[in-house]
Amino acid sequence: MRYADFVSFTFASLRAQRLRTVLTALGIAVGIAAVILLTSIGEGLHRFVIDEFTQFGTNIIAVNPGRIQTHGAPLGAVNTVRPLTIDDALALRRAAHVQAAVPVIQGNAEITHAGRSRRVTLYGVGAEFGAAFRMRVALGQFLPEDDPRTPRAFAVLGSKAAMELFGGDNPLGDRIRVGGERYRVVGVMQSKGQVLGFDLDDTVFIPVGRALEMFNRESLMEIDVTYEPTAPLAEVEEGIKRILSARHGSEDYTVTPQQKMLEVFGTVLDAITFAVAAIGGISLVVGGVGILTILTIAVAERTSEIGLLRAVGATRRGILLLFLGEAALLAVLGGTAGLLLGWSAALALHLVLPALPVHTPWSYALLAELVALAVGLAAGVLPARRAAHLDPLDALRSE
Amino acid sequence: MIRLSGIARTFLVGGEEVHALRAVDLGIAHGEYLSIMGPSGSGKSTLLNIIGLLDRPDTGTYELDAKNVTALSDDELARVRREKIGFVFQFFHLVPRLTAAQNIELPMVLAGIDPAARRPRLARLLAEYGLEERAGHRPDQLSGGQCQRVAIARAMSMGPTVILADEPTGNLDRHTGQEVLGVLERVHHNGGTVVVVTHDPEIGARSQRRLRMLDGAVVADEKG
Ligand SMILES: Nc1ncnc2c1ncn2[C@@H]1O[C@H](COP(=O)(O)OP(=O)(O)OP(=O)(O)O)[C@@H](O)[C@H]1O
Ligand SMILES: [Mg+2]
Repeated sequence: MRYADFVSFTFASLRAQRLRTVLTALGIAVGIAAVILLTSIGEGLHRFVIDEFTQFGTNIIAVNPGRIQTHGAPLGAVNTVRPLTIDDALALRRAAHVQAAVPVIQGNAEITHAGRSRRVTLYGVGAEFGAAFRMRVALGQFLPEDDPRTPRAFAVLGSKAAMELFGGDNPLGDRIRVGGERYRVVGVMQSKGQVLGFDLDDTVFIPVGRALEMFNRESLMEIDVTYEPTAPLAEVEEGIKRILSARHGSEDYTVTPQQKMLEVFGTVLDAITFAVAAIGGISLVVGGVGILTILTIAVAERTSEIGLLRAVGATRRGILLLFLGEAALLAVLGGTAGLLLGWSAALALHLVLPALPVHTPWSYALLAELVALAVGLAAGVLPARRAAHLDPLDALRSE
Repeated sequence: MIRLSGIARTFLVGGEEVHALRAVDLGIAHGEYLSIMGPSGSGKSTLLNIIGLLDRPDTGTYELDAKNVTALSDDELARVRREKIGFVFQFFHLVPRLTAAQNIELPMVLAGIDPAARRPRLARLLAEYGLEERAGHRPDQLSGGQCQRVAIARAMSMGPTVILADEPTGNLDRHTGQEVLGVLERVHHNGGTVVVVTHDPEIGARSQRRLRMLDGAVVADEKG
C-alpha cells in the first residue's frame, strides 16, 4: 500500500466516526495540554528564580559565621564559633583571584528627616558593596572608601526610602537620622525593585563599622566575596578557606558559592518541572486507554471489513499497520490539538496573571508529542494485533 | 488452470468430525463458466473458499496456474489472492464509508498500484459496469443490484485468473438477480473464468458447466 493511500484510508476511517474520533483525540489533547501548561509554569518559575539570583552576578561567594554540613543558611552557631569581623573581610581581599570582599550586616532601623520618619531595611556594608552586587547610584556616590574601623557618618538611600523621606527634593548633603544617630546623605541608589519578595529600594546603606556599633554586634552576618569570573571556583574557595582558617584556628564558618546554590536550585526546580510533567503524563496515559477502548470497539465492528480486506489481498501485517495507523493518527491529532490548547492556555495565563512567570519549554512539548505518539501506538498494539490475527473466513462470516 | 486432487476438509464441531469435503478432484480450464449446486451443507462454500485460498485443505494438492499453492505461507496466499482471485459475496461486503469508486479500486490500492495507473483502469471498470453516475455514492446510497455490480467490478479490478461468486444473487430480488447474473455472464463472454455457487436451478441451467455436490463430494459434472 502506498504511503499516501495508507494515510487517506486511515483518515477516512476516523472521519467516518467523527464524534468518536474527536472525543478520543480529546483525551490525548487534554493530556498534552496539561503537560505543556504545567511544564510552562514549572519552567517559568525556574527561569524566574534563576534570573532573580543571577542579577547580582554569579561570581559571588558568601561566607557566613558558623559551620554547617550542607549548603544553605547556617543553622546556628556552634560553641567555638569566632565572630566574622571586618578584619576578616580585609584579610580576604588578599586571597587569590578575589576582586572584593564586602562585609555585610543587615537589620531594621528608623530613618527620619524634617519630621518625617520611616522604618526601612538597613544594610551595613563596605564601600565595594555597590560594585560587587552591580547596584548603581542614581544620585551622588556610594559610600566612600573610609578606614573601615573609623568611617564617617555617611548614608546612601534606596530610591523608595529617598522618595518617602524627601519627596521630589534632592537629598544629597542633607542630614538624616538613622536609628537616632546623625548621618549625611551622599547618594541615592537606582531602583532595583522587588527581588524574591525583598524590597531593595526601601533601604538605607551605612558603613558596616557603624552598623555593628548600632546593633551592638561583634560579628558580621556575611562577607560577600567576588572573584574574577574566569577563575576556577575551587581555587578561589581554597584561598578563602586557607586565610580564614588561619585566622580563626578552625573552619568555624561556611563558604557558599552562588554557583553551587544555583546548581542546587536548578536541580530542585528541574525536579519540580519533571514532576508536573509526569502528572500531566498520567492524563496522557488515560487518553491512551481511550484509544485502546475505541480501537477495540472498531475492530469488533469492522470484523467483516477486515475479512474483506484480507480476501482482496491485505496481509496480516497490512491489517496491523492500518489499525496502528489509526491509533497513531488519533494520538497525533490529539497531540496537535493539545499543543495548541496548552500553549494558548499558557499564553492566556500569562495575560491574565502577568506576575506568574510562564515559559513553555519546547523540549518538553516535543517530548510530550513523542510520548503521545508512543502512547497511541502502544494503545493500538493490542486491538491491531487482534485484527491482524483474525481468520479471514471467520471475519468475513461475522455480520 | 485450476487443478484440485484429493482435496478433503474436515471440521471438528463439538468433538464430532464433519466432512465438508471428501477427496474432491476437480479441474477448471481457462475461460470456463462453472456453476456449483447442491443441498445446504453439501460443501459448496467450503470448496469455493479453498479455490479462493481463504481456506486450506487438510489433504490433497491444489495447483493454480501450474503452481502448487497448497503449502504457501499466509503472506504468499494473500498475494496470490490479490493477483489471481476475484471474490463476489452474497452480502456484497463493500466498505460502507468508501464510495463506489473507492471500493472498486480498493484491491489496487492495497496492491500499491500508482494512482496514475489506477485512474484509467477505474474509469474503464466504472464504464463497463454502468456505474459512472454512481462513482461518488456510498454503498448505503446504492441499490442491491448496484452494490453487487460494484463488488463484481472490484473483483475484476486486478484482472484476476478466476472470479469466485458464492450465491451472488442470494440477497437480491429475482429481476436484479438476473441482471447481476447477466454481468457475470458478460465477464465470461469476455474471456474470464467464473465459478458460481447457487441454489437457483435456473441459474445453474444457464451455465456452460454444472457441478452437483452432495455430502462433501462432487456427484455430477455436466457440460454443454
Ligand atoms: N467453519 C466451520 N466450522 C465448522 N463446520 C463448518 C465450517 N464451515 C463449514 N462447516 C460445515 O461443513 C459443511 C459444509 O459447509 P458449506 O458451508 O461448505 O456448505 P454449503 O454447501 O455452502 O451450504 P449452504 O448452501 O447452506 O451455503 C457443513 O456441514 C457445515 O456445517
Ligand atoms: Mg454456502
